[in-house]
Amino acid sequence: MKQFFVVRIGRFFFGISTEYVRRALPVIPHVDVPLLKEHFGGIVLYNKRFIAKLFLDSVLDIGLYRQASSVTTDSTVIFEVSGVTFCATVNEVLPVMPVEENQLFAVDDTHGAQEPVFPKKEYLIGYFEHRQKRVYILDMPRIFQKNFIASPPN
Amino acid sequence: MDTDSRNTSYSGEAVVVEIGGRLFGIDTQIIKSISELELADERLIIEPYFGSYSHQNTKIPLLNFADFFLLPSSLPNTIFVIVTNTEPPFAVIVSRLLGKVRFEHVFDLPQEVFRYPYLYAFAVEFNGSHFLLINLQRAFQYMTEHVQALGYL
Repeated sequence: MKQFFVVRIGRFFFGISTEYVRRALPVIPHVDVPLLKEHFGGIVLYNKRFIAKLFLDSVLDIGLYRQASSVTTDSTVIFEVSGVTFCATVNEVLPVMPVEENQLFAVDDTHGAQEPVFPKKEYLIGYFEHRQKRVYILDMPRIFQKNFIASPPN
Repeated sequence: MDTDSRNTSYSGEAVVVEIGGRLFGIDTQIIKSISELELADERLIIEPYFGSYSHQNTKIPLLNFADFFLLPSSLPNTIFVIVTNTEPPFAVIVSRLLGKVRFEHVFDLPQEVFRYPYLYAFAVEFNGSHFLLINLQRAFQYMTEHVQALGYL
């Protein structure tokens, strides 16, 4: 059995292994900083220190989803990968879901083939079904590696 | 005094300046002088990235960070020029000077997400918000490399 923290970004649902999630909070305002690497949207004061805010929708190439209403379900989720704390804003946080190993499936080339927008498959390590919706599992170490370590100046 | 180990105890003094509509801090330790000048002052040659400033009968580089920071570069009629005490000296143009602040501790920054590591040394609390302390010497170096890569130098 694996535990996944589930979030919604736009119309997509994503599962994140709970080992990488520290907290979910109401949206924390960020400080704009000139000359950040691509996909970063500022820095956020969390627990008396500044952490980076990663635009997950940009990393996953699924566009920007902004709510029209001033009342939103948006949350700031705090992650920790390889000892580095960072955050991202998501549109909705759902309860942690336990998933049996045999309910996890691979993402293949047919996924998203008919859709104009689909999350970058290089960051998906599989999916599971929940209430007739697919929850795509994010490869957090890869997202971390590609954006924090390998990302060259742009 | 905050004893949280994730903050760095570092006391100092900074001038708070506005560049491209944003507030930044510059450590007073690197500042030799600050002059308020008319934009049309004949000692100033303002260009994108690098202009020049006649300081004590010597022309020194005048850094226009708004272009480098990708911020609006329009300037008011009266600006401030900060001359460094480095060797050789250089000058920085800022559109506003908000004052001088003394700080007792600073906030570390996630340097790994900046295109230019340590361009900003720390964040400092100011009026309920925070400004970034620019490392002027690194900024000069990074902007020079950037402009050289563009083929302008």
